[in-house]
Amino acid sequence: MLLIDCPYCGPRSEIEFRCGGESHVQRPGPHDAASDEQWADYLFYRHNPKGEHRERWLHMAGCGQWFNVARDTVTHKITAIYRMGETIDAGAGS
Amino acid sequence: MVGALPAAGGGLAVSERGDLGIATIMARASSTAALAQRVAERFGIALIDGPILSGAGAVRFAGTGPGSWLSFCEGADPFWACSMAVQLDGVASVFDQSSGYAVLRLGGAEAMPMLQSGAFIDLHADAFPVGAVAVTVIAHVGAILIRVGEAQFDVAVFRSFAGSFWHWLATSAAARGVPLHRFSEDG
Ligand SMILES: [Zn+2]
Repeated sequence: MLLIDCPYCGPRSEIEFRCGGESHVQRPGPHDAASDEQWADYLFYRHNPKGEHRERWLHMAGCGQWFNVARDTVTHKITAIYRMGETIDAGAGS
Repeated sequence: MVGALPAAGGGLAVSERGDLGIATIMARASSTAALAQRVAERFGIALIDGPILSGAGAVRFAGTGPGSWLSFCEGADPFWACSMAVQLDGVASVFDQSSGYAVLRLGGAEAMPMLQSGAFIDLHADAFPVGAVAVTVIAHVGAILIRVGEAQFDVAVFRSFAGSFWHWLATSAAARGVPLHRFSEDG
């Protein structure tokens, strides 16, 4: 069970949230210019690292906002929480 | 409103706040500051964009998310939400929830321990003081908790879930050996 520190609500149980998968996945475009390889990468290929992972979370049963989380996939430790549209340097949270 | 606790004390007193007008207030894009200014002008309330209750009179705003509030008005007439929409025209969207939510007031020494057994948040007065608001779940039912006094909480649930919430309340109270006192509107 993760304890996720929602930027609005404070620390809440994982059951109140929904994970929206990897953050910062850019849609290639314009559509006609995107190669099959770019399109497949966008749709199907994810980093799946052993270590720090950036992912989107939605506080579904709470304030209803999306935000980014940096979480270690080995320890499950959350090292950073930041707004949608923002980026942080690799390892910035740890 | 809530009647007096029985002479024996303790226990849990529950009443429905049936006299409330309820409306969801959502600030228009980039208008949170303008909304706060309007609320200050019209209601004399310093609106806080956070999980806190703003206002101390008949009209109050409970922060439920960034730029959104559930507002309450005691003794509201059926057109109250419409008048709110007019008051906040241009800076917020207003939705009437007066029949959408049921609001229960829980009081008594067992109110906090009871809610604590259902909500996965720290309700100790240091972490959840008077005026604190939390949008969370109790027994899989979405609930908005507001601490209105040291031992007094308002709980808003969608009206169609009120029966399920009441079932959790009554069952949990029985399991904990807590006497449950139910009050009607007129005490
Ligand atoms: Zn939240």
